[in-house]
Amino acid sequence: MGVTAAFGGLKDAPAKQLEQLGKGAEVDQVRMRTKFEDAVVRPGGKDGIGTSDKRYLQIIMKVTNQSDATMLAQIMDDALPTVRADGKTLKPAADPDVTLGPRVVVVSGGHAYDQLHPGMTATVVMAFELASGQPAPERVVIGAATYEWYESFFSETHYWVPVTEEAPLTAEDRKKGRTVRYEPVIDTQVSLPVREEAQ
Amino acid sequence: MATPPGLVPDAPPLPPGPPEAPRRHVPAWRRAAGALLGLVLAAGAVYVQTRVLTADQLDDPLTVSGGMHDELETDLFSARLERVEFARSVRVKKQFSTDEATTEHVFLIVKMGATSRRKPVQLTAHLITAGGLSFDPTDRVDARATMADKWVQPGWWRSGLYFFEIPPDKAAGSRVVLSEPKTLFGDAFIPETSSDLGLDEAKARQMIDAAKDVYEVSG
Repeated sequence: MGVTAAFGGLKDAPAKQLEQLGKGAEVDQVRMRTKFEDAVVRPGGKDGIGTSDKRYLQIIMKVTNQSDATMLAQIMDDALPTVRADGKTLKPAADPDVTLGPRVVVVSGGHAYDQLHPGMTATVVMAFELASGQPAPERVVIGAATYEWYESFFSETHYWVPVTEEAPLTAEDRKKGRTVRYEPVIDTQVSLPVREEAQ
Repeated sequence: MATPPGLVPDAPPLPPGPPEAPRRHVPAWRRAAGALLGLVLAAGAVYVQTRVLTADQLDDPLTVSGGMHDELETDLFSARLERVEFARSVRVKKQFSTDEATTEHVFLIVKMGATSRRKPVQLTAHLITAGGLSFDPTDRVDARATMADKWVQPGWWRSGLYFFEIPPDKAAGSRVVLSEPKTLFGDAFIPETSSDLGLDEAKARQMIDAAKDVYEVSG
């Protein structure tokens, strides 16, 4: 108890330092390793992303699947729980009933695919549709979670889940009568400048 | 209250018991052998505990294993590995268009034959490498051009292709596993067949060096 008191008590443990990284940073998320290469606003219709009459904010990454089985690129939607553009939250969406979130694909040879095979590195694009006339943001900040090989206390089988912690309840939770809320722990933030590509 | 004397008859004297059995002499070697046997049984019991399957292993399918051309029979279907090939790209010819699948790695193409025991089934495949990595069939080749989309029926064999995109150095020692797709409310213990591709380092390298540039299929 003396030791606990000497280090300032249990309640006041220092908040974990959030690692701030920039363009080209590589983040080990255990299940995958992600290199943040670029953020660009451009019209769709190329690489199998979107349609040519709309503009998309695309976060371009190199993702290596470090697990031992094929997984879908859309898992990056869970692996990067928050994305903010100039302070405005793009993800998680304010109303999850309206949007299912960004589309995440593997881009290769001008086509969009879905699979990330074990031990292999692929170019992954997370695309947010911009409203028409909406100016391109100057900077996006991406929060990266970490996965763990989790053992279910009930069935004792294993699967991948993002590391979570208890978070304060939101008004929405109270309305729905939830008493506890878990959110993925954000260890690392990556800030990328956004360039704009016409055509 | 005192009991008047004479109401309770005196217990008759106990009959003399059987004479004490003389202590049987157990030879020392038998004592030692008994102790050793007990120790072996106890150690065996402890050892068997280490062989208990983990929860993950208990969930595993029931596997029938074999090599090239072996007919692997399960309760649901039978399968055999017919051919293994490599290609740098795959061209899927459709009725009105042609899809080109390319890769920076290599396509491993496996021809499997299968028949069903009782009901029509569709069989999914995955490739397990020597290091235990599990590859799903690639989505770069349309599933309609592959065996995964075909119905396997009782009474006759049919064959089809599965396409895997793998790094060339992962081919040696790999095997292809076929099973019915696992559904949430389906059978918990599905059978699967595991066919060894029979590729050692040298043969895999030689086959990949000789890989076709374009592999054509219709789909």
